[in-house]
Amino acid sequence: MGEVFDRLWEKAGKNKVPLTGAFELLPTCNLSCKMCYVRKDMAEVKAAGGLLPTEFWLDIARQAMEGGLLLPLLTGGEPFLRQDIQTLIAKMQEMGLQISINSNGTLIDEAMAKWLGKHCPTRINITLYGASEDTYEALCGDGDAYNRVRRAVDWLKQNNVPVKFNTSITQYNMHDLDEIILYAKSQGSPIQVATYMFPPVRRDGNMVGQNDRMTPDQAARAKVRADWLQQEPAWFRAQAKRFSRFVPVTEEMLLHQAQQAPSELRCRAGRCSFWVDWQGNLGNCGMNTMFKSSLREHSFTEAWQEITEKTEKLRYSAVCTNCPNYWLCHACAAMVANETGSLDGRPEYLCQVSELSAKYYQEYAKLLPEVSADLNDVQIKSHICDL
Amino acid sequence: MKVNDHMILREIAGEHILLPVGERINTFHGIMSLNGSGLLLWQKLQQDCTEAELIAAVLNTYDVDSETAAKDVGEFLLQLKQAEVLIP
Repeated sequence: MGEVFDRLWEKAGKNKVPLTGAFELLPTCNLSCKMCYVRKDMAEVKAAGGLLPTEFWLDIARQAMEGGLLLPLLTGGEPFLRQDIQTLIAKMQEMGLQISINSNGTLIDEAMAKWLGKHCPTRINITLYGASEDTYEALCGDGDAYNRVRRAVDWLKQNNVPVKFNTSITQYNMHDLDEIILYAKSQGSPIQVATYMFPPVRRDGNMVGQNDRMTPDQAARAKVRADWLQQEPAWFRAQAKRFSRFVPVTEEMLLHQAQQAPSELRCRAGRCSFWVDWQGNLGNCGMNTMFKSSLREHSFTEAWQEITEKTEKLRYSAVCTNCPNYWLCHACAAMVANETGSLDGRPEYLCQVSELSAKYYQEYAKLLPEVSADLNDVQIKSHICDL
Repeated sequence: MKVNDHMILREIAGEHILLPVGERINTFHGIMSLNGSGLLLWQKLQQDCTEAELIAAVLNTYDVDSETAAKDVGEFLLQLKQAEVLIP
């Protein structure tokens, strides 16, 4: 199976086949997370033209499928706020699309979980925002959401729906990081920890380089801590070794880097991956505000052609992509643009996170010979809780 | 025997892929990739046919001996049976 997908990704990237794509069905959400990059309330949506109808999304899915789409992601906002979510899922599955869904999980009741069990997505990605009512209240403005998502996960598991967890760590829930990871582990599901929060430039163009997010020091601690709790000792040791090669960057080095050639995109965006925003604009990535093509005015084929051509020509940040630390921080074009307001800038927040991560990886790595990475080992917590 | 309608064939990025649809989505997680002979057999199995007819189709298309063709067809049919897409 892995070999088939490896071949598909390789061929799709080479031949500009839109193998995967996100359908941002709506920007509204029943939660109000402080760091969200997309959330709008219904009045804002109506003022901007309203939500696009079921038929629009199914038509785009069909066109994309004819172009090679296999792995669509239904996302938002909160997809389960849409009254037509079951129709969208069922009809897209009938097309031979393998759907995954992003959700906060709080609107999935027992009946919906049962229905999903019969229209099983490839997986449902549930984002966890905390390990208590208090944390959900502080970050999302809804304490009871904590209880609802836990119940939803139980129902999804009972109906054999594959669940993967995501978690977005901010200063409002970083104290719950250990418990969030332990919960995912107890459910036997993988969890992806995001400690970097994009500036919400899509929501507010004045937010370049800003967000209600962790300081670089907090983000670095959380990033390293998450790896410590999740990864095998050998992996962690190798990662710490990689970060031991972090090079403090001088003004002279920055000048030299800036004089080198900028880089093309190094990800799948605009090669075999796309994003359709809630207003029906096709882009190469959800965080890209640089160029989009309206699917209300163009066919998917036309719009995809435009996006792939623009992506191919795009170059970004010589100062960043020629940095000796680039291979540690992997700053992408969208990060550079959202952090600096330009494709040529230097995302200093990320530079600081990388420098501090290098420090914390070394500190944790010193503990490796003494302790195992077993989360249930009480000794570990006593060893590292002060880090 | 023939295949049921629980899997559909799609060509994506030059690969021929079998995908579950309908209720089969709940029990078959993933995809199946078909090579040239797999594609030939899948197309033949859209209509009712026998194992002997499938072997003959392989022999008519590929430069292989009877033993190899029979082995390949047998393995392919076994995969389809395991995926529950074969109607006897």
